[in-house]
Amino acid sequence: MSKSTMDTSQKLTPLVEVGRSRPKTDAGEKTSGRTQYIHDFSMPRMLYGKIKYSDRANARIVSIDTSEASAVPGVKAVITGGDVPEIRFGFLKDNLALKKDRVRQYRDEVAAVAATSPEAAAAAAAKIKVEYEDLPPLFDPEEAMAEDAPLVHETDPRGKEAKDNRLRLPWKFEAGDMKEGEKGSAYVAEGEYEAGWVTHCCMGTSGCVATFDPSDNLTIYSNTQIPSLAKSDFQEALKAMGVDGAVRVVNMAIGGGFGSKLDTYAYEYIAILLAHRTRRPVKLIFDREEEFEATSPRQPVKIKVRQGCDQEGNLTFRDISMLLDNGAYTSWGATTPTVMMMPVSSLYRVPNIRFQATCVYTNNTYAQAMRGYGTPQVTFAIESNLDELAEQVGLDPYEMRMKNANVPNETTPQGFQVTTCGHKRCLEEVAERLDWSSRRGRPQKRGAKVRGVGMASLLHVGGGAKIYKSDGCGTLIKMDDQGWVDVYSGSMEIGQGLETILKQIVAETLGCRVEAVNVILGDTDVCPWDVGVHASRSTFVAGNSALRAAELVRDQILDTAASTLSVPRDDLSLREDTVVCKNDSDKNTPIDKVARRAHFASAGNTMFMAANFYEPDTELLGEDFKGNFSRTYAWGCHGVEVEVDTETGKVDIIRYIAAHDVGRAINPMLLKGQIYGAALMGVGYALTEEMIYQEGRLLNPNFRDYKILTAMDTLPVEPVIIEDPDTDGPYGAKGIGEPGLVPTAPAIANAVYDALGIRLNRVPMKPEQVLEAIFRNQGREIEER
Amino acid sequence: MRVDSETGSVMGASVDQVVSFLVNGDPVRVAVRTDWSLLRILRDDLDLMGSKEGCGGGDCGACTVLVDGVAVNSCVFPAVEVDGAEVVTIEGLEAADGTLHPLQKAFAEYGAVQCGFCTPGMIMAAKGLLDRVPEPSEGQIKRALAGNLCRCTGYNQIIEAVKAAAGAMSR
Amino acid sequence: MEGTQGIHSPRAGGLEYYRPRSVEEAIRLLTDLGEEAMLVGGATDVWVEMRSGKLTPKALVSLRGVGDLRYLEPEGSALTIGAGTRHADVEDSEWVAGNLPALHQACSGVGSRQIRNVATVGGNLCNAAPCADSAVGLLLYDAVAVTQGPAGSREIPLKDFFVAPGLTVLEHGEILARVEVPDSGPRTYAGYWKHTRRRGIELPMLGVGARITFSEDGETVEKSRIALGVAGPTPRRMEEAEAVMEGFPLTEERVLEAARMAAYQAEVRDSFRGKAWYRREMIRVLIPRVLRHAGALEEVAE
Repeated sequence: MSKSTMDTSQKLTPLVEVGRSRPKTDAGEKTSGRTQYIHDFSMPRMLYGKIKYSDRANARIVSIDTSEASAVPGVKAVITGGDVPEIRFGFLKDNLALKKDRVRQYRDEVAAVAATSPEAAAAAAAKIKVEYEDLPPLFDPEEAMAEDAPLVHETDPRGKEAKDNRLRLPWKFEAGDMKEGEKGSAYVAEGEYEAGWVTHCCMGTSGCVATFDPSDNLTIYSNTQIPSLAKSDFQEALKAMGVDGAVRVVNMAIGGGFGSKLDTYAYEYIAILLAHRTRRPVKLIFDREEEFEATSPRQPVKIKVRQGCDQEGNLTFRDISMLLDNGAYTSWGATTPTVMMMPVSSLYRVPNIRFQATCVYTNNTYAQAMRGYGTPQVTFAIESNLDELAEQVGLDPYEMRMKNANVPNETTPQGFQVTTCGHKRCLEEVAERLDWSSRRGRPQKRGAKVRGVGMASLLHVGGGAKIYKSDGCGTLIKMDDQGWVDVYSGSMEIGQGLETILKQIVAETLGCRVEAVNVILGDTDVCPWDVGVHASRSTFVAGNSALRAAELVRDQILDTAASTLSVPRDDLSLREDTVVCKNDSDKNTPIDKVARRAHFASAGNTMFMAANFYEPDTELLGEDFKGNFSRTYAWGCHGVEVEVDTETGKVDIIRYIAAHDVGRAINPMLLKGQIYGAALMGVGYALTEEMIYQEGRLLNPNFRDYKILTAMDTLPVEPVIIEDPDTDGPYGAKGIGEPGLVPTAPAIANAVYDALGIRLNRVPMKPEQVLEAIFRNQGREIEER
Repeated sequence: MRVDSETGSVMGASVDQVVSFLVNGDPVRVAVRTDWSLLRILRDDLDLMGSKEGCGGGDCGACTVLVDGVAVNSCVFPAVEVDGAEVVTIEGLEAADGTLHPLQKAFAEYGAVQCGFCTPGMIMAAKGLLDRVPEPSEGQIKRALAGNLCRCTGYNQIIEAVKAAAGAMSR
Repeated sequence: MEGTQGIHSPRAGGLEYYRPRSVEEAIRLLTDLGEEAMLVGGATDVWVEMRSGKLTPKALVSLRGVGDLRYLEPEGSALTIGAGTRHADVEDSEWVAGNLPALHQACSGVGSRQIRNVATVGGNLCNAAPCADSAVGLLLYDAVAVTQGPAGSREIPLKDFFVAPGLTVLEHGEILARVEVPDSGPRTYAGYWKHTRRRGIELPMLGVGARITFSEDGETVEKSRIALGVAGPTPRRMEEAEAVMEGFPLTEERVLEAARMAAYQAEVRDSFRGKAWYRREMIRVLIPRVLRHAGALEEVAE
């Protein structure tokens, strides 16, 4: 295990930069309109791309007539699947950049245009005529599993005939002995939960600019969250195109990520094809409607859950099975079960686990990664069901949780090695702040409104997640002879503040001003490899990598200083841009002077620079899905007081406590920003957001009808930051990007139960759903008239 | 000069109308087609890229600018209507010497900026409010920003920033 | 439309756009241009519908520059609203907030401040959407639309103004010049509630307005008005429900009965925006709440 030289006594000692609520270093640019997003970027001779989408859910493409489109003035290229090399992409390679012969969903890309203006491109795309032969579509995953269901894909990606619409994915997990677990149970709670499609709604829509140089080298200006992996994907695409060139991925500022850019999309390959065909830069930007329709949302899921416990309430088993609507192609949505296994196997201490997930092809949209990566969906089931189990035992839900809470230094049934664990503290904080003991079980009625309280906790990875062959991140650091520091990291700023965090970590380590540290991100020509901004891993992994590289540079500085000042190395430290000598302050020297001495020495000239590739000491999950795939884990607990209007079904949030086990807050203000933002996204997920599909077609591809929450819906969130420095995190920090929305839905559902005695098992918990449940409780019929 | 969508040729004398207006204090003249929005001429003709297109339909506020002192969604504001008006965009908030406006400083200081895409529109909407109501209540701030969507921040720190800016501006 | 930040006008020759300086000029233009010319107030709705291709006019005649149409003129307890008045003008008017609370509530909730700064009351009425908030508010107060056209001027009670979604009784070339809101009389209690899924920037799932004007004895209902949005093809009054209360002492029972009647008669539909049964139930629940909140009924602890 690679050790950090940070000694444990430093853990919570006051630091200079770490722990400081410093404003984001890019805030000046962002507040003055200077930041360049992909939408703002252009190149000389640039063309505009526009995609023509399918208008059938499932059909054979009989013919495509592009003649009228090509005749539109300003059009430089019109391409279809038939006249470009086949580019396959996606986790199972079952997706094509331009669809050939068949369309399988409304968002299928059938053709594309490049033209000298967006208007010309749009006019031309509208003139492309496609003839279809309709095929029977499947919109229900259960129907898609029936024996006589038509096949969405007749063959698998390798050409082998498909037997049915089930994906051949091995999502099964078992630990312990289910039979023993069931035998030892005095109580069992069973339930079914459902979550549909919601989407990221990044304020900046998707887009890219692709351009080839005369030697066939591709540069793609991008929004991606995975610059290094995208580069590999695009490299493969070039191979498929028969193009022998290098690939450079350059990131513009990203207008929001949340997982939406964790996979490559057809539009990127289409931009590349158009750029190659026309030999000009091609800009392809989604408008908001396209963003809703043609990007991939959160994975919908139908979950069956059973949990059991003994007489005293100790959990004995957890049995979960789920059905995933995979849509017509496969992206990260299909892999969410591998992360869902995490709370399934390890949230609370449960000895016997069984988990199984089935993914089925349909003609619906296909899903991708979205903040939480499956854990919000499955935690909704687990935590709602836990309250039900607690009720059977006669235990208060908080007591039930405390009794079964995770503790430090244990190994979970999935093989996770828990080091630091703030689970109990998070639970305690919530209970205390919500005044749980006097509120729970005593709903407060005022007229038609009832108030209740509920809680739910979460488990997430806190130290990266080895879901790919490497979970590492590389960093290069150099210091020039004026003392300016440049840090090149493979990670990306997606708004979460990574750039600022890295500056703080490096400044802390080198004892220099934050202003002297420059962070360069998002250029694969310049920055080392990183697997991507996901799994809340950037602070931990990129942070550790930057920390170690900075330590190497620090060592170089101290070594040089010790030599030129003739003092023992141990007497020296770095602080306030100065090499400080413990016993002789006369020898204090500005760091930049030391740098010049090294650089311009009479012999042995050197420059202060270093490289580090940090690979967390973790394991890829085995075939049994067991293994310690993160260096540390993070817990949290959300507690909510809701007010339900029993006549309108509306649920209001009166109080919201979000307690998070973060190890160490490198920048408390930015960390709180993650909690506020995630909590509101979670409440939207729980109460108001849904993509409304009708026979595969999206009815609400806009902000009027897709209800993301507004400033007037701002939550009274009280963030509680629990710090227990992690042994492995940079300065003790763990990840926080995703946890904030994992437990919101069950916390709210549990609070609604406290208020009304009604269990809601479907998100979003819209007023209609609540009111219908209230009526059912009262024996009232819904008047359909 | 824009490319005509029908002929594909560069438009010279065939522009539909010419509008003259003040943008961030500077007088400008722009040839516009009648079906263009104010947002388009700000971004494409005047190189003022700070205002963003978030939805194109007046539903998200990312394009908010001030026209004759009031906040409007420039994406649904016809370009021809800006003739004779005074427009202020995010680029016009900072002082000539680059000193940032109290709103800009407060947004930075209070963590109100994450990805930043909604930020210019949010700040302009807040400016529209503070110009009208120098000491707004929290409720007034929320109402004024109700048309500006943000997916990153949850709005909490944005509201704090606007409060702080109001305080700074009244001093 | 990809990055167009405007309208991709499908009409050859593009869109004609006129900015008259007076109502007379506007009427002349409309007459000369013919039926394919559309009038706009702030254009916020029309612009969006043009972008989506729902509307394809040959020309727009914008009243934004006709300053004469933008005014709020109270006279005693009556009010004349120029058709070019922005919703924000109504929102900012303390007079309207104090004297015509339901109208104030209705106009203050339209869209966002940015929309309200541009969208006009006249435009909202002429757009004749089933959900028009200002229409519901104005119906409660027996507002009268006053038009100017080539054939002269007409006075049309607002309850007779709407024909179908997007269609009013206006002839081509006829302009809605102002809305006159008569004195509603002392002892008037009115309110408007916009039922939405989230608190900001919403089109209503349902708009509920109610008003009671008591007679001199302070108990008998002299005038009762119930107006609904999104409960039929146009904003509408629910006159049979009103009759349950009008002329009688106001009691909780009568209010509930009137609400039931309104709910029963409302033409609510199932749509992906909301289920009919739910809208119907909300009519029944919200009418009494609006009246209680307005002060017409004893406030039951809610």
